[in-house]
Amino acid sequence: MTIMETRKHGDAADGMVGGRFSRLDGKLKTTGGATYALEQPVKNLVHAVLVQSTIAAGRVVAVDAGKAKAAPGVLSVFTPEDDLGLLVASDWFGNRPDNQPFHPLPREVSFNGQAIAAVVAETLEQATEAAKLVKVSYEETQPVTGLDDPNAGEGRLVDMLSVGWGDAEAAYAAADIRIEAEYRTPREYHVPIEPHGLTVKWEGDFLTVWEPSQWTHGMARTYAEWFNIPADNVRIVSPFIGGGFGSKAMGYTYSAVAAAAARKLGRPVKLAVTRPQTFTAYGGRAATRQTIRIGATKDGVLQAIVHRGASETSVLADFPEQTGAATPLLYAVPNLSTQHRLVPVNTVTPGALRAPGKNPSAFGLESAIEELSYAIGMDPLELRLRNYADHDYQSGKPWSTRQLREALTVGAEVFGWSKRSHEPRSMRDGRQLVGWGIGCGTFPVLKAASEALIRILGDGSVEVVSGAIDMGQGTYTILAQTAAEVLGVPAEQVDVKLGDSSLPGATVAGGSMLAGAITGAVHKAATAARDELIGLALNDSNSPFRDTGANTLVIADGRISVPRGEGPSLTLAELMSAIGRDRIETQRNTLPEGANGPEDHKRSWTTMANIEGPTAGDLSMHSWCAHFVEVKVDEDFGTVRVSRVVSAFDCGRIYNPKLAESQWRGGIIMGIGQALLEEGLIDERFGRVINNNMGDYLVPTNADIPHIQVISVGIPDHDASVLGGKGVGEVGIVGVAPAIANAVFHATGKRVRDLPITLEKLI
Amino acid sequence: MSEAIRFILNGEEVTRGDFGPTETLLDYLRLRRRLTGTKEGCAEGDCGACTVLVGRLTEQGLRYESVNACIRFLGSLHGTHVVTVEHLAGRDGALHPVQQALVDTHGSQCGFCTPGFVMSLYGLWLSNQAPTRADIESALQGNLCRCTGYEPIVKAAEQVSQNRPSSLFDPLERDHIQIMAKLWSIHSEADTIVVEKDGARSIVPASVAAFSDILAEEPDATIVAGATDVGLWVTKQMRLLNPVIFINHLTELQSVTSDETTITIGAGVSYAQAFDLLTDEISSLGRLIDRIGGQQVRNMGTIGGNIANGSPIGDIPPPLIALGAELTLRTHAGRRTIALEDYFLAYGKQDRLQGEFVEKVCVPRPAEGSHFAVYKISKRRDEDISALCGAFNLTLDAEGKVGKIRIAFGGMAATPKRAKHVEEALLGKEWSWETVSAARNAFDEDYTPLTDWRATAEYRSLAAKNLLTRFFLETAGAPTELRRFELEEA
Ligand SMILES: Cc1cc2nc3c(=O)[nH]c(=O)nc-3n(C[C@@H](O)[C@@H](O)[C@H](O)COP(=O)(O)OP(=O)(O)OC[C@H]3O[C@@H](n4cnc5c(N)ncnc54)[C@H](O)[C@@H]3O)c2cc1C
Ligand code: FES
Ligand code: FES
Repeated sequence: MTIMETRKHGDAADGMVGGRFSRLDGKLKTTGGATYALEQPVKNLVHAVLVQSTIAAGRVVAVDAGKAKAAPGVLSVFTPEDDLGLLVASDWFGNRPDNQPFHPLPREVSFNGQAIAAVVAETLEQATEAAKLVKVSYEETQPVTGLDDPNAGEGRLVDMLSVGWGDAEAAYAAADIRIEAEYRTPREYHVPIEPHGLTVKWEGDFLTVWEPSQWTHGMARTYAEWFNIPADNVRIVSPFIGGGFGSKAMGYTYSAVAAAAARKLGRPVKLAVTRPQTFTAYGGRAATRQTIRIGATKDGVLQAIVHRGASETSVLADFPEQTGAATPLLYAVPNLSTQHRLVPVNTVTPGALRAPGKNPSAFGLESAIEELSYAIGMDPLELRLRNYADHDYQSGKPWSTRQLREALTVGAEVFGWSKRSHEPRSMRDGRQLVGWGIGCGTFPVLKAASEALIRILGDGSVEVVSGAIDMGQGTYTILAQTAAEVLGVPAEQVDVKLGDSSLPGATVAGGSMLAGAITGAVHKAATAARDELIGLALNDSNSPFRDTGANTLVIADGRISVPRGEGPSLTLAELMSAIGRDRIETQRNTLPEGANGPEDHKRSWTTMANIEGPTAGDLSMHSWCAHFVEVKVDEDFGTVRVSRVVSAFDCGRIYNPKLAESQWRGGIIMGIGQALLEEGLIDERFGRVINNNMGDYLVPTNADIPHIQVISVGIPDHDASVLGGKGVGEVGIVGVAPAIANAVFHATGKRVRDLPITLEKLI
Repeated sequence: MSEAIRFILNGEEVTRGDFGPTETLLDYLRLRRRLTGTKEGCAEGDCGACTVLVGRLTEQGLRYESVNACIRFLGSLHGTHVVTVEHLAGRDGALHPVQQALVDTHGSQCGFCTPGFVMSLYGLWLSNQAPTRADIESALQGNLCRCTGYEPIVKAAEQVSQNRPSSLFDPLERDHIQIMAKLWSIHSEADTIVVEKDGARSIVPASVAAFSDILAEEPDATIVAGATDVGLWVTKQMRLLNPVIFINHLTELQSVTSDETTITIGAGVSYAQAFDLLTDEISSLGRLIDRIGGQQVRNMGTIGGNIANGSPIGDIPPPLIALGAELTLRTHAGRRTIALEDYFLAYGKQDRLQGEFVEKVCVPRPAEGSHFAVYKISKRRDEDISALCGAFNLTLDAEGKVGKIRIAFGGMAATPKRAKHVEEALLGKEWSWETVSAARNAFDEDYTPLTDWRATAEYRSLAAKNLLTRFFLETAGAPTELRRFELEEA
C-alpha cells in the first residue's frame, strides 16, 4: 500500500485535504435543488397525521374515531386497538429481546404528547382536519413531571457511571479551601430547522424509506427488525438532512407508524411531524442537576472533586445525560468521586443532543472551577493551568495529543485576557457591566469502522460511494478532498454519493466519529484504486507506460506520469482509454482482517457495539477546547449580551478549515442559546411542554451572536484516525455555557447556577 | 364580480379560482406546484425557511418584499409577482451572485435554512445597493439558522453588495418592464373577486368602499391584512375561517401623510413602510419597529392589524398611546374617531362595532423640545414578543417642571394601558432624580402584571420602574440616547 504523507492544514483553498475547499453541495443547497425527505416525488402518496396524548400518565380507555373515519378523504385511523404486527427492534448496541411485540401507538400513556393514534387521508389537509375529530378518553394517573416533582425521588444510581480514585471525601474534608454548589440545566431541544418526518413506500416485501438519517445502516436495521424482514429489504435514503444534532440517528415510533400504515393501506405514506409535535416525538437533552464539591490548597492546587449528579429519563427507557462525563478529565486531581443517578419521569425518552453528557458536565465543573478561583482569589486562567492534567487520571493512560494548554494560552493571548481585573463588577462600559469568563470543553475520540467504494471512470472522473451521511458537517466535501488527494485529481473531478443504506456500510454520524471513520475508509479504497491504476499502467500491454521501465508512477493534477522523468504523461481519461477500461472499482473497509465477515459488517455498520472508546488502546484520546467570552450586562433589566468570543480548539488535524470552523461556530452559538435562551418549559400539572414552537422556544438569532473567533491549535493525531483528525462537531458547544455564566458572574457578582441565565435571574 | 385571482409565479402567469380562504402560499408552492426549494421549518413565521419575495405595484413602482409563505394566504396574492428560489439561478444554471456568495463564504451547512436566507438576501440585494451592517442584520432578523453561526451568512451579504455585475442576468431586473405591464393589466380589471371552495369564500374587494359594503353584509367575516396574526390562528390553532376578506392590496389604506401637528398612518401601512417614514419623524418609534418580528413579518404585518388585534403585548399601541394617538373606525355608513387607549376595553375585547374596520390612526407629533422614547424588553433581542414595552412622552415647562407626561405600557396589564398614577406623581414636579424615585412606586397602583414564561410579575414591575429611571437619565443630559439599549455597544 502506498503511504501518503499528510499535509499540514493551511489556508489554501484547493481541494486537497486541509484546504479551504467550498462545500460540494453548495450549489444544490442555494438553488433549492437539494431534495429533503419530505420532498421526494413519490406517486400515489397519502398523508398520515399523528394524534398525541393530552395527559402525561394513564391509559387510553377508548378512542372514538368514528367521526374521523367518516371525514372526507380519510382512509384509515390507527389506534391502540390496532395490532400493527411489529416486533421490538434492537437497541443501539444490537441487543434485542426475542419476539417482543412493539406497539408504537400504545394503550399505556407515559408522557404528554405521546403518539396514540394516526389518521391517514388522501391529502394532508384532510388528515389534519380528521385528526382533530379523534376523541380519546383516558384513565389518568398521577404523573411525575420533572426532577423537582416531589414524587420524583432521588433516582437510581447508575453503577457503570461511577468513577473514582483516591479518597475524595476525606481529601475534601481535609482541604483548606472548600466550595460546594448545585448546578442545573433544563430540558433542551435540538430544533433542527428541518422538522422530522418521512416518506415510506412498500414494493412487496421491500421497503424504501426517505427519512433524514444520521445513520442509514442503523436505521435500516431497525425497520427490518420491526417488520421482521431481511435487512437487505430495507433501503433508507437520506442524501440531505436539514440538521440533526443527534436527533436523527434512529427510527422513532412515528416512523414505525408511517411504515406500518403504508403496508396496511398498500399506498406510500408521508408523515410530517409538525413543529410542536417534534418536542415530544423524540427526546431532547434531559434536565440535569449536579452537586460539585471541590477541595483545594490555598494556592489553588486541587485536592479532591466530589461530584453527585442526576438526570431525568423516561419511565420507558434509560438515557443517562451523564453529568460526570467531563469531570474526571479536565484537571489533575488526586482524589475524585463521581456518581450519576437516573430519575424516571413522565417524559419522552431523552436523546443525544450535541455533546451529550460532556455538555452539562462541563457546565458544572467549569462553573465550579471559577467559583474556586474567586474563593482563593486566583485568576481562573492561572488556576486552570496550575491544575493541568499531564495524563488521563481516570484511565492512567497518557494522552494521545492534548493541546489544551496551547488552547488556553493562545486563546488568552488573542482575547487579551491579561487586561482583565479579577474583581467582580470591576469592569464597565458606560452603563453596562462587563465580564470575562473561561470555559473548557472536551469530547472523546470514538473510533469506528466504515466502508467505501471508489470508482475511477473512463472519463477520468472519480466516484466516492458510501452509505455515510452529510447533515451539513461536510462529508461530501471532505471525501472528495480525501479521494482527490490520494488519486491526484482535482476535487472538482470527484463525485460523492452518500446517504443510502444500499451503499457500502458506515458508522453513525454522531459522537464526532464519522469523519475520522469514513475518511479512513475512503483513503484506503482510494489508495487501493490508485495502486491498481498504477499497476495497470505499468503492466497493461496497451499502456504507453509499459515500456518506460518505471517501477512506479505519479498521479498529480489529474495526470499520470513517470516520476521525475522524461516519458509519457497522460490524463486519467487517456490512460483509461489506452488500457481499454471504463472503470476501476475498489471497495475497502477499515475492519481488521480477521474480523471482516458478514456478521462483522452487520455489527459494525448497524450497531454501535464495535465502537471503540477513547481509552480502548494504550492512549487516552480526546478533542479539547477553551472558550473565552465577554458579556455586557445591563443590570437594570437583566439583559445579557455576549459581545465577544474567542475559542481555541485542539481537534487534531483539520481536513477542511472552512467546514470545521463553521462546525465550531455552530456549536458555540448553540452554547450561547443554551446559556441565555433555551429551556423547555413544562406545565407542572399535565407534564406538557408549553413552549413547543419556535416562537417560544428561543434559539439564537443573528443578533444574539457576536463576532466569534475560532482558532485551531491541534496537531495531527494519527492514533485517533488515519488522517489525523480527532472530531470537530460535538466539542464546540462544550464549555460555552459555563464560560458565559462565569463572565456574567465577573460582570455582576451574581452566580447563576441554573440555565438559562434569563432576565429575572439578574435583576 | 370575478371568481379567480391572478398573479405571476416566477415566470408564469397563474389564474386560480379553486382554493380555500386559508390555503397558504407555502402549501400551494410545495404541494401543488412541487416547488420544494421553499422550505417549511415552523409554519408560523418564526424561522424564515419559507421566505419568498412578493412583488407588488406601489407608488414607488414595482417593489419586492420578502415574506413568510407559511402564513401568507393564497387569496392575498392577487396582482402580485411571487418569486421563489427556483427563479434565481441563470438559465444556464449559473448561480446568482447572492447564491454564489453563500457558497463561497460557507453560508450553508445543512442547507435547510439556505433557500430562505437566499431570498432574504436577494430581497436586500434588490432594494439596497449599499447596505450597512445594520441593514444586513435587519434583513436577516427573520431567518434562523441552527448550523452555521450566522457569521458566514452576514459575510455573504457584505460580499455580494460589493459585487454587482450587470443587471442583465438578474431575472427580475431583466424582466422588470414586462412584469410591470402584466401586473398593471391585472390591476386594470378592478373587480371585487370572490373565490369559493367547498362553501368557504375568499373575498378580495376592489376598493375600500367595496370593502366597507361587504363588511356591512358580512359582519362576521375575518379581515386579513398582513396575516401575521391571523396566519397563526390557522397554522397553529387550526382554526377554520369563512369568509375571509383580504385587504392587504388596498393602497387607499396604505398612505402615510403628515402635517405640522399630526402624522396620519393608514391601517394597511406595513411595519416596513412605517419604518421608512417614521425613523426620520420619531426616531425612537422607528427603532422599535425594527425589533418587531423579522423583515418578512415587517413587510407583511400592518399597524392597523397590530392595533385591531388588541393583544396586550402588541408593540405599537404603547408608543402611540403615549403620543396621544386617535383611531378612526369606519363603516360603510361613516366614521368615528376615538382615543387609541379607549379602543382597548378588556383582554380580547375592543371597541369595534359590527361592520367597522380600522381605517387610520392619527399620531400627534411630539412637541418641539419634548422627549419621547419607547423601550422594548424581551428575552431574545430580535424576533421575540415583548416581556414589556414602555413608552414615555414628556414635555417640560419653562421652569424645568413636568408640564405634560404620558406613559403607556404593554405587557403590564390585560390591555395596553396608561400609567396614570405615575403620570400624576410626576406632573407639575421638578424633573429630578427625587421626583422620579418617588414616582416609581406609583407603578404598583397602575399595574398588577402577571407571571408567564416571558417574565415574572416581579420582573415586570421592577423593569417598568427601571425604565422610568432610564428615561429620566437619558432626558436629563445623559450624553447619548440609548439606542436599542441592550444593543448599545458597537
Ligand atoms: C414571527 C412573528 C413575530 C412577531 N413579532 C411581533 C413583535 O415583536 N411585536 C408585535 O407587536 N407583534 C409581533 N407580531 C405580531 C404582529 O406582526 C401583528 O400583530 C401584526 O401587526 C398584525 O398585523 P397584520 O396586518 O398582520 O394583521 P392580521 O393578522 O391580518 O390581522 C390581525 C387582526 O386584526 C384584524 N384586522 C386587521 N386589519 C384590520 C382593519 N383594518 N380593521 C379591523 N380589523 C383588522 C384582523 O381581523 C385580525 O383580527 C409577530 C408576528 C409574527 C408572525
Ligand atoms: S416555515 Fe418558518 S417562517 Fe415559515
Ligand atoms: S445551515 Fe442548517 S439551519 Fe442553516
